[in-house]
Amino acid sequence: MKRIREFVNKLNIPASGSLIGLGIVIIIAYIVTQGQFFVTQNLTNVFRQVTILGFASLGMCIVILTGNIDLSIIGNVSMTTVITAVLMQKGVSLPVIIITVAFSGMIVGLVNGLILNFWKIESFVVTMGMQVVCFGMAMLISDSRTVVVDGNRLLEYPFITGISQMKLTVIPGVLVVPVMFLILLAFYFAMYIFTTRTRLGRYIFALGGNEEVCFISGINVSTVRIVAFVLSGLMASMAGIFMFSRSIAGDPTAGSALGMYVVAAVVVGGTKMSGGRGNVLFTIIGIFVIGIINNVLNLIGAPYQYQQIIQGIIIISAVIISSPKRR
Amino acid sequence: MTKDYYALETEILGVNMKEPILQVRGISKIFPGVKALDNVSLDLFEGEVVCIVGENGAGKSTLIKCLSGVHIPTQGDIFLDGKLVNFKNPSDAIKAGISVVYQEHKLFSNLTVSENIFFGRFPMLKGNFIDYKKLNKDTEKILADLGMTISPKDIVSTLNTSKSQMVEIAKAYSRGARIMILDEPSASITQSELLKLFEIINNLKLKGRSFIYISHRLKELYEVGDRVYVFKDGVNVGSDSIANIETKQIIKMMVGRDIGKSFKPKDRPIGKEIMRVENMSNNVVTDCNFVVREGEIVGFAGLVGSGRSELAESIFGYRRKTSGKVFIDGIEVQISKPKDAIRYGLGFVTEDRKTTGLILNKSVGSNITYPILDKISKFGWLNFGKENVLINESIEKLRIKTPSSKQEAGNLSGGNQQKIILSKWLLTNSKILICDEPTKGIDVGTKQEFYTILDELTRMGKAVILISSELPEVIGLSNRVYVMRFGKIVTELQEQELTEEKIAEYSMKD
Repeated sequence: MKRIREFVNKLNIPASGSLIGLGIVIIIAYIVTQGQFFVTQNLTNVFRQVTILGFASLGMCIVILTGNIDLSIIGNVSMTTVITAVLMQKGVSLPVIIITVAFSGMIVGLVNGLILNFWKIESFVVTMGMQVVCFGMAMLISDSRTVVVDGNRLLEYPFITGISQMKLTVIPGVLVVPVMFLILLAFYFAMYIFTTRTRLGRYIFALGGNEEVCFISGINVSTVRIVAFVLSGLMASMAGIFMFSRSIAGDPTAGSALGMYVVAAVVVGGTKMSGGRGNVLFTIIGIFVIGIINNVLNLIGAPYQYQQIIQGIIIISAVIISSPKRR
Repeated sequence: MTKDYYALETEILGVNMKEPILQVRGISKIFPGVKALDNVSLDLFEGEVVCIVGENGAGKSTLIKCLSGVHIPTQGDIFLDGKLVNFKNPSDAIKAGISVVYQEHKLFSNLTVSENIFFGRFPMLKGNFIDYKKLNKDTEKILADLGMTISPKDIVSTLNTSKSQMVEIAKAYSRGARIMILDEPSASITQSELLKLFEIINNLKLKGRSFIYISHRLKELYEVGDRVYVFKDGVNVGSDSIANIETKQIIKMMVGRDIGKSFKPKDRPIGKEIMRVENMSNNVVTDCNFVVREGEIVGFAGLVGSGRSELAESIFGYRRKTSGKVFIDGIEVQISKPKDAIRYGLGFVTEDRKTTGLILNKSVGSNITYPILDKISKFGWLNFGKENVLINESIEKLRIKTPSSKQEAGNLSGGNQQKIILSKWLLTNSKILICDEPTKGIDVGTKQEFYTILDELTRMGKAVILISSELPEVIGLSNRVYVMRFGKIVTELQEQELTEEKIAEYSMKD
């Protein structure tokens, strides 16, 4: 193991640990499913499964880069799906729905950011509280039940109901990619450009590196923190809309399915929890590692309880592979 | 007054006819590139307080660390009760009866006084439960023994500096420490608390305990000490009984060295007043007034903790001020955050490069350009070409030794890290550069480079505020020096008045 690590270090590939993790997961997936994993239909499914996690993790990644964490994301996702469902049921026009949920998501992020700017508290605590508030809001809006949109109403929104079903055939009979995954990729790429090519992006990394130095260097630390949390809120809204699109129902507990996978994907992608180090693009590797594990466990029909245990163990292992030893 | 060590020893032995409990013989400690201690010897008798004085970097701390098992001396021997001892780690020293009370207290702040004093030696009940009744009673007895008025049940974090210092002493005492080393115990306690401390020390002396007392404040030596050792540049330059030696002689021994060679003449063209600070106060400093002129290096001298850094922080908008005005070019300016200060042409090379100077896990290049990113970006998009030109120019100009501008700043040596920070403020075109201990922990060669750079900057019409605890540096560079003590500017010394003795006198006398 040590020798392999030394060899990999010599190659100096970015995120080599994460890539190795992904490689191992794919090989295991191939073996335990006896190739079933690579069936076109299943691959398409995997792409679809990782998309929602992908949006949530993208926002999380940006916040983690600033040295914070945003646990409110999963509550925010739930709130978005419920708001979308309720608005659709009322027959509100599509642009208004999209603008409303985008704003609701961003407001959650804004509140997180403002609280953290005014008081020196751990973002863990603030966003954990916000998560509970969001779940509560979702319950309130949905009257504590899953909001099912009438069939007739659904027909009025072909875009929302259809977006998760659209596919693009990349290699006929081998690779068919859902459009929503391509949208996700576009977002990742845009965010990559944003974090590496713009001034604010540079500040996001700097803030995670050392807040005091940023402040002394004349950087407006408060703005940077708010931008990161608002972006995270917006990405949570995106995840929420796609989640609704897949299930066509507003489930106030929907977000909890993402649970800690959002953080896990970012960490498996090589972004350091301490902030300042990482790369948003590599989070894609993280969402695939987690998505594939989920998919394979489903394919082999592992009982739910075992799935959870195995997932947990595999996530820890994946993080271990992408991390240095303590001493 | 410098006496041969062995002559002194015989003299004292002649009087006491006792063997010292601690004998240090010819100890040297060599760190890569630095001889921190050079052939130092020292004696400590039972019931005696020996004081050690010297400037920063004179080797006092290194000696303590050798005596307490933190460092292993490169050469020399330590004898306890005439027996050779070899401390491999601090617990060896503690077992042998040597305890250190450090400047930063090493107590568990979340535990009670009694838990701290008996940590690791709790009286137990059956079934592995701590016998709190006995614990608190024992602690109470110890505290009463020493005349300390502290409750055993108090949580340490609620105690002030002076009280937690006492808890440390009580802890050492209860562990049977015969030799207690106090490292600048007076640094952050009040006068009345100090008197209380002296009382306790005298009390313990009567119980046969011995002390090594380290302080910058010479007045204290006369109140608490029996003998004094003076250190300079790792060498023991003199020792005598307190009764035989005057403050002036001690200061002379501490600072006596040739300076001047490494500094250029100060024939800088000095222009008009560029900055004026009036009645600046914050939680540490009170009512500070001073001016800075173009082309000047203005020194700020004083002991560590005298408020020099805190004054600078308030001027730069990094620390909240309670009152005070800053005028730049004669116009009053409002500086409430560093961003404002930068806009008015200030730069701040902070004291601690690792926590406030650099983002260690970011590249050399980006560390240089953080404050000027708005100048090299359009609509928020960075212009990498422009940035790289500026970075490479900076690296070349200050001769920063780095394999590439992409190297992480944390991987560079202290001197090169400091150059990165300086480059950062040169790029913002700061007119007034505040340098807080700019040469701390930097090798001699790079120090020299820094002196040249600072001198050149002033010749370009910039002004430098130099905060430094190295007196030769302050004297060799500054046109004028303000001396601070207890958060106040106590005097302003002109170029022709600058001597180490004078600065030391103003910064230390009570």
